[in-house]
Amino acid sequence: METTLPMKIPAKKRYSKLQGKQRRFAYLALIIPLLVLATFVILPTFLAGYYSIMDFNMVTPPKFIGLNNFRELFSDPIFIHALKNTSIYMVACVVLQLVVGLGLAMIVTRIWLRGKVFFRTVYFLPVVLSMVTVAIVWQWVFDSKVGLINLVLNNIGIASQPWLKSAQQALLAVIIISVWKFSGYNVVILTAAIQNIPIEYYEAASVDGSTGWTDFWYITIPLLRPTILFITITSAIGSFQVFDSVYVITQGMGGPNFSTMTLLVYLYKHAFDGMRFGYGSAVSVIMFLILLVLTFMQLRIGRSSESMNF
Amino acid sequence: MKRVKVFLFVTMIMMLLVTACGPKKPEVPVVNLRLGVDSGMSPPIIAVLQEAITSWNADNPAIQVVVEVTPEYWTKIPTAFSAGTAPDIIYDTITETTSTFAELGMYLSLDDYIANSTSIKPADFVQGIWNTAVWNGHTWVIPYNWSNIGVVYNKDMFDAANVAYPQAGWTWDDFLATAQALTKDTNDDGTPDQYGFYDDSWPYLGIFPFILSNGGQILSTDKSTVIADSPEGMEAITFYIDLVRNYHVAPTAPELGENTNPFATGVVAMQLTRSWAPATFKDIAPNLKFGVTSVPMKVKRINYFEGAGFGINSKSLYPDQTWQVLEFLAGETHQKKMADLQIYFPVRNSVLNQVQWNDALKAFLDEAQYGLDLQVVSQWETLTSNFFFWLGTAVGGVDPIDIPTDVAGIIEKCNTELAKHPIK
Amino acid sequence: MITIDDMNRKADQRDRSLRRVRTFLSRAVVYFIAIFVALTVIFPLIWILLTAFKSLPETYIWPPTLLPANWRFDSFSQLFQVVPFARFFLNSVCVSLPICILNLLFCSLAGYVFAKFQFPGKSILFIIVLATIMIPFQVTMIPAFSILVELGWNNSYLGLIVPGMVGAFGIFLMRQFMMSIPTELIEAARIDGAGEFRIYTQIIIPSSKPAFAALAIFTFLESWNSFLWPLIVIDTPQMRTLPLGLALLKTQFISQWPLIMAATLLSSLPVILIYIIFQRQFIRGILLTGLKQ
Repeated sequence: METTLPMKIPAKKRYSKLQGKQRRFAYLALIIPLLVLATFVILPTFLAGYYSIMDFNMVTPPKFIGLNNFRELFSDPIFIHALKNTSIYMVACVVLQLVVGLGLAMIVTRIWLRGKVFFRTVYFLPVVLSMVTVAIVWQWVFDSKVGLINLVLNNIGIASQPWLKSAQQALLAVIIISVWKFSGYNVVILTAAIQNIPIEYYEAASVDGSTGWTDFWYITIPLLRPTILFITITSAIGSFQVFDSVYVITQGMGGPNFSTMTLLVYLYKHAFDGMRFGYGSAVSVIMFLILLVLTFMQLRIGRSSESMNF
Repeated sequence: MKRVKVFLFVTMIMMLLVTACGPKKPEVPVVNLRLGVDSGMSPPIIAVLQEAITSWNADNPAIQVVVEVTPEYWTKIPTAFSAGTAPDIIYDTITETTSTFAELGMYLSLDDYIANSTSIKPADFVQGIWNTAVWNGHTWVIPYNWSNIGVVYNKDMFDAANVAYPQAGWTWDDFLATAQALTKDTNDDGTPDQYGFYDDSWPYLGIFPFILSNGGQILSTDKSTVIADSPEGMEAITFYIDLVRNYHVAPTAPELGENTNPFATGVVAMQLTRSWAPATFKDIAPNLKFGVTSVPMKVKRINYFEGAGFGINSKSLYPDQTWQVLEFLAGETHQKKMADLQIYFPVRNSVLNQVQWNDALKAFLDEAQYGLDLQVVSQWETLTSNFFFWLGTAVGGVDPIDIPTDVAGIIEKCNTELAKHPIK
Repeated sequence: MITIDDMNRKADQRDRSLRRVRTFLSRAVVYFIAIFVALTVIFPLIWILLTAFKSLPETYIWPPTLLPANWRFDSFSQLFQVVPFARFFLNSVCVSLPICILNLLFCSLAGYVFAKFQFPGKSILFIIVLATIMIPFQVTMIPAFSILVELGWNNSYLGLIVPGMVGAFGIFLMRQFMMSIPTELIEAARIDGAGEFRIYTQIIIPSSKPAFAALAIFTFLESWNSFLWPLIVIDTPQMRTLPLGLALLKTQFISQWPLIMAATLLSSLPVILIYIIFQRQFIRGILLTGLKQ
């Protein structure tokens, strides 16, 4: 191909001129996003960190109390409970939502499938509904006496389960509800990503005798790695910060014996109901650190695939 | 580069358009006040309040008030206050949050205004509710309305079980026997299909009426410690929880399921409730035949008041004008309009006596004479939520509890909290 | 006489029918799963829809019923009288559309730059961007609101749009997608003398249509259903967005279930519409493969 650049500029200078242009463009493109994020997220985050070592009720000026908030946190059995519940919830949701999302995405991307638009819309609908509505419906579904699930179980000979009313099953019920509501996100993302895979890859593979299963494992999954990493990171962060589903379903009480008390509900109760914003900020600092470590670990693992180097 | 500029320019234009499309800030020759109100309030009351403000605005062109009916009111008000954007007139549920907000400095003390007022004289007001607006020696809100507690009972269910209606002034023993007679297992499957009792403030403040009616107290006289674990208190707490766990006249959590209105839906025969509850029955169970009776007593017959009021934002730019609106809302005219809705009781004695109360409210009103002062402390919310969490498990009836140990633990937490907020 | 050819042909035929049966069976299983999952979604939705056609006392009956005993069709019209639903709807549109469009613009630019460019500070900046998702919103919203008040943007559309006009989620999403765009394509265009912005508009955007579609859907959805931030920012009742307006239907006394369900259905429609429009982008064929040019 003929280059149209003037030949008298030496190669090295040409390269750095290109680099300079690139860098300028990069910084320019990032100005507004970084400005907005800095003003409305990063700055508030630092303020929250500042409040975490204060006794602050939002109204009177904050008072410095050092690490007392953190000390109180770790000696509160309810906080430890919330930590445990939230971790279990997060792992279960990330895994299940990914598996369900991937399965459904694979289904709706089959060329031979009829009614694609119907299925794609239906799977996304739970995401669209407000949590209040979802909660009221599922509370009834899980009702310990007249709920749909117990009715089905009774029909196949299993006794009615207390579900949301028992300390053992409440968390499981909430996980099921979350998987129902949020898998649709992953379906959307994975569908987009799967459609992005050039069909030539599959055509070339089928020439070599590849079938559906090997297609899946050796083409689809490897090419979906960046997307799957994206999903695990964002799902982990999102489900670790679960609030709406749990708060609405348990009316902010944390469920039977605190079995569905999550970190953010705990934070909210202390920061807003109890008007201890400094204490709540301390909780958020802990959450932030955990998520930071978790995300780093995931990025490290994902680095083994070439697409995740910085 | 040129295209970048074009894009940025377009973005800016879009943002400018958006600003222009928003509502214009009004010209301000008059004083504009904002009145904040919880959207969770009863809709007819909100409607009457808005009508009242509309007529105020018509009569007072120099003071214009905007009513802001706000969802999640209790999250928004402190947040708004901390940023300086709280409304001038703040609505408040007196027993629960007035002292908390007052302690934080969110209210102006109303003492001077009251002393100089011609229309607001404390003696004209229902004492029980006026006293709860006073904290630490000052008055912080002007009460707006109030309610009290009682027991409603389902007449049809009583008739079907051939049980006599409860008589006001009945005892714990009467109450228990009645509840047991009304708890039936009609299809013999081991669990009752109808129950005798339920507490719709469950498990929030349910034990307090029982503690008080046993002669116990929740707070010590100097309000510095919680003494709910006195022998009378413990007896009451045990009795209350036994209703679920021992006598089984009240449903456990799994048995109740997601039914949020067991009385209105005919699952329980009696319910400890507030005086505003019957007003909701006509909407959700129009054919319900019910009666009202007193809270069962052991040592003394008790009752207590809860209510709402309005306060002045300490950061308001126009406190004097705000005060005028407060006088209006507590004035005879508006109080009568609100009372006529037959949902809440008015705070003025004169209006209270004027209204023809329906049977249910008349019965509640009769009980008001036994009202005790529910001692007001600024950390009421924290105290009750400590009990709140434990009571949920206790009356859930599923997981094991140890009443003496658990209560001791809760009281210790409460006392630590109280110590941080000494009454000066 | 049966030849080897005949036998081979017969074997081939058998193989083909076996394969056809296997395909048929596997497809049937897939349809079965697809429909079963669809039903778990549809059933609750039907219940929501039916509740909108019940009278208020009926929604409080215990145990709950499925079909209305008396069909009432006025909850939808009542909705517009009880609350200024149309106004809330308009407000939500005026806020969510700009947020959606601005996000598409800025997140794609930022994502592109993080995906395909090298510049000093790139790793740090990306980590900082990612870290902004890790702090719960309930914690940042109070300091953020104070900042908003300083800027004078409280109780305004600006206060709703600007803080949401760029999101770390969108930047991250775009970056992941754009990493798979062949860098050779971009290099080639550069050597041809194309300006950076031209490369962005003429190569990157067309190659990322599915990502744009996904981001459009998510951003619109999040802004449409956003509750806490509009709650804090907006005071004037006329400026309320839909979720705030719907919250007015729940009081401490009773919830107006038929109205709430009707409102839920109506307010879900725009998001579903946006979804149906944009999910067309997920259809293979509009993409640049980059291997043939």
